[in-house]
Amino acid sequence: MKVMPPRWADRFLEWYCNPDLLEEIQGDAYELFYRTANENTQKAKLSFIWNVLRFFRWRNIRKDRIKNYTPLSTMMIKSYFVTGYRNMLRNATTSVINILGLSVAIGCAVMIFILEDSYYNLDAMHKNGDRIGLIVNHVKEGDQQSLLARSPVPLAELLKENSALEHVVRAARSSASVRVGNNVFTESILFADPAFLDMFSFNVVSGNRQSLYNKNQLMLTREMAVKHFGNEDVVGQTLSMKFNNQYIQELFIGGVLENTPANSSMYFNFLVPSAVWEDMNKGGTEDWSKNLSVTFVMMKEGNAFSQLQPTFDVYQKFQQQANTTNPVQRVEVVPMKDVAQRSYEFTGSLSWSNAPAAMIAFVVIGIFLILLACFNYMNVAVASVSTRLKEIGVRKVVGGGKKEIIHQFLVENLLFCFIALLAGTALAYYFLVPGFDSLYPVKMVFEVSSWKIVILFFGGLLLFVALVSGGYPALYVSSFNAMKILRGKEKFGNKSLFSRTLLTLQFTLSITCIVGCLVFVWSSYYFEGKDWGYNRDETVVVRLLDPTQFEEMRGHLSTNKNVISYAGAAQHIGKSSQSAVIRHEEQEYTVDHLPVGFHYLESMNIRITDGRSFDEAIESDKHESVIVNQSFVKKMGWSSPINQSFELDSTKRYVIGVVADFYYHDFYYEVKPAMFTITSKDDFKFLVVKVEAGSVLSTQEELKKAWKEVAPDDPYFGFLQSEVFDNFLNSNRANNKVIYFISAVAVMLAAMGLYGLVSYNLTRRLKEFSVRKVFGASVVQLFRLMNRDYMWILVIAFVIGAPLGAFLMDLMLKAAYPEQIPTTIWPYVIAITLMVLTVGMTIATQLKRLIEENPTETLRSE
Amino acid sequence: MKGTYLGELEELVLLTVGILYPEAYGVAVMDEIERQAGRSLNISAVHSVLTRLEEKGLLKSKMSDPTEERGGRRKRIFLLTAAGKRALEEANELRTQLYNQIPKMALQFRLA
Repeated sequence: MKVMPPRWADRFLEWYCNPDLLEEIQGDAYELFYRTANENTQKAKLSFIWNVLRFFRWRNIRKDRIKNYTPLSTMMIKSYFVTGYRNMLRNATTSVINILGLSVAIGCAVMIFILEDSYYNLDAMHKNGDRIGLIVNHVKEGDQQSLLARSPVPLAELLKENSALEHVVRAARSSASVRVGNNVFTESILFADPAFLDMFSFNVVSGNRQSLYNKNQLMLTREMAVKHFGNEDVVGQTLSMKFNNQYIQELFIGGVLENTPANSSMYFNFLVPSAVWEDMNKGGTEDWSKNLSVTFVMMKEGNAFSQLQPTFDVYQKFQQQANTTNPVQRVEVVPMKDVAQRSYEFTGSLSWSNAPAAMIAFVVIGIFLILLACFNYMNVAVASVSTRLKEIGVRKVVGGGKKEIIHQFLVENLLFCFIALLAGTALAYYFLVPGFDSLYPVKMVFEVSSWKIVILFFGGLLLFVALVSGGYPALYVSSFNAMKILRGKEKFGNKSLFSRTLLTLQFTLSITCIVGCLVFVWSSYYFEGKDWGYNRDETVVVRLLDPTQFEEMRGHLSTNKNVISYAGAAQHIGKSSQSAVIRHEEQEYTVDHLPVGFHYLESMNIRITDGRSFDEAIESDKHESVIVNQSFVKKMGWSSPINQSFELDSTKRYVIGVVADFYYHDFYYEVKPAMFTITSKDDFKFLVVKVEAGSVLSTQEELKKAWKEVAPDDPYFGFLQSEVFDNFLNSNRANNKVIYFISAVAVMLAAMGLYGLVSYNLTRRLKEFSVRKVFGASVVQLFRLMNRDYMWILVIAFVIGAPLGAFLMDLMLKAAYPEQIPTTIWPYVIAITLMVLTVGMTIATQLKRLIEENPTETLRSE
Repeated sequence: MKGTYLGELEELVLLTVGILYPEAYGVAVMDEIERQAGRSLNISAVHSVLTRLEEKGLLKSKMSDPTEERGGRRKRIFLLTAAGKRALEEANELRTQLYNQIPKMALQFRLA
């Protein structure tokens, strides 16, 4: 065997050595090696290695990387842009598809970015934010621990003794009827200590920032000033407020605040000094047992929250003495920057933010859409190469290396992505963000926290999309052999397996998405048409702020001929209920309890399935009769429920009737055992009126008129029974819209990817099809031929995607609704029809090209 | 000019290339110097001198036919250029001229 120099040393030499010098250097090294190799192999090898190392000199090292291409490729950049631009115009359809797909995905990404950005920068505008904290109590509730954002009112006074503190501020949300002249509106208000505005950086537009230090002054936002007074110049005006406990007070307007900014997690319209609250609740200020007000602290510069611990120890002692059932076990100070994000953990927080799970889901959706669009681009870009083979060949022949071709395609791609980025941002600005804003109660503004993050995000997005979508096509294209291209021998399309895999993946994702969305839509239609357990259409309800209003309204009702019946109620179906503990055969059960007046069941059209309704003539009905729902009967296991008895508040109760199950909350809640009892007029909070069919709206008008006379200080709070679940149904409808949009994007992206692949394969097989045409193949036969491949892709995608989508959505629905939603075949049928139609139509557009093509043109040019 | 200055080793290599005409290449030059001057040089040193001389324009080179002993690789054959010849002549001349100026006295060594 011939002796060889050490392989690695030889390779090392080849690697570092300037190719121009390699031959002579390697030659000399070999010559020296062979000279001694036959006598002493070991010595020869060592000396070879030594020589290789000694040859490692600056002069011999290859420098082409730095030397050769830099000037050349910068020179070419302009040419790349020009070619890219021309190509974009030449393949207008493909370009539009590419840019459209990318910009829709980018638009969604931008919207999600703004949502996330605002989420993570909530409350960032408070100048002293790093020194502000919210006091959160870890309270024992039974065997659980809950986090209460509210603290006892006297805690603030106690905290003021701690010298590490600069400010302590209590705040409590409430509502009040605000009256200016004859106009009354109910508004959400915030009782706050005077230092509230010293602590938080909310802007004051006019008036005095210190207004809250006067207990007869309040502050309101610009929006409210316009709503109540018609202009913003309201400082010094008065208005009257009627608080929850009927307490009425005249207040001066001390200042006008800027509307609550979108990046504030706290939202309020009116700031009322907490001195007003103290006047209203005499003695309440010393109560350690109830957690009533949210307490914020602001430390002095350089002090840490932990310095409050001694005060907290004292506080816990007071609290545990006053409230033995729910003792505070730990006190935590949550820094302001975390308050919004954690607010979903707290009970009674003033702050509000999206659930973190939703924020994560949004990011996932965003990445998913961007990836889909990138796959698309890859497919279409690879397909469109067919028209550019000659160009690449010529470029390679005149000296463009692989590197230059890759550069060219990446630069072109960057151009595309940049246009898509602009289009996508515009889409987000003009369409997606306002659309999202209008659908949900969440305030969403096209705003960002800082320019730095914007540049990072957009730059990163641009680079990511450009590289991910353009990387493969650029590599693919650059690897063609110039000779083969120019001789017309490049068999392009050998690698379509990659494209096919991508397409299958894309279709699978699309079908997963569509089926999932349809299952959701189906579920919301199911709820939309669901029986509520009673007839809701002919019932009008008025909320009473004072039980005496019932009697007064009653007088107006008796003269109205449209009224069939009416009743009062303490709790009302669809609005509220209370829970009660009952004892039956030595066992305790928790059930929902609806104390109502006589005729309530009739006025609400609740269906009695067994026994009788309450009767005013029977005295015992007032004290011991009860009507239960079917779930109640089932829970007790009664076979004949009538005259069964149980104990409620140590009074014996007899069942006189059973009603069909009805929904007294929206569909997120399970129907639980529930019962009706008769309650006295002093407890009435609702007036329920059943009217003649078709007279609902006119009766409501008359009720409003009557209300003005009965209660001039209170706004009218009436509603139709058919509206009680509107919140639920509306949010479902809003969700549906978002879901339609996502499905549409998914279908569109899949169709685009398909279009790319079909046109690519058509180009590849054009000769074949032309020959078939010449021999008399019909359009139908051609169509079938073209479809065959894609049908398989579609079948695979459907088999994987459909169950996956249904499974995922089922998981989500199960988590959201207690009730099993009946499954149907419709989502699958619609999804498959949709995809087949899309595929068919996409292929049909390409088929048109094939039909119009003259076979002689194609075949002649060999 | 710095470039025209001829170093001692450079002069030696330049002369050897002349001696070995027309078969002067890296290994041959190295061997010849060892044989004639008894100086053992590393091949990489010879290479760098040769390339330096070529850059100075004193040598030119061409590739030979492939040979078996080098694994089928070609040699780079170096030849003197006119400038190279002149540089050698100048160096030689300068040396003789200087040598001739040494007083006879200085060269007369006697056993004293």
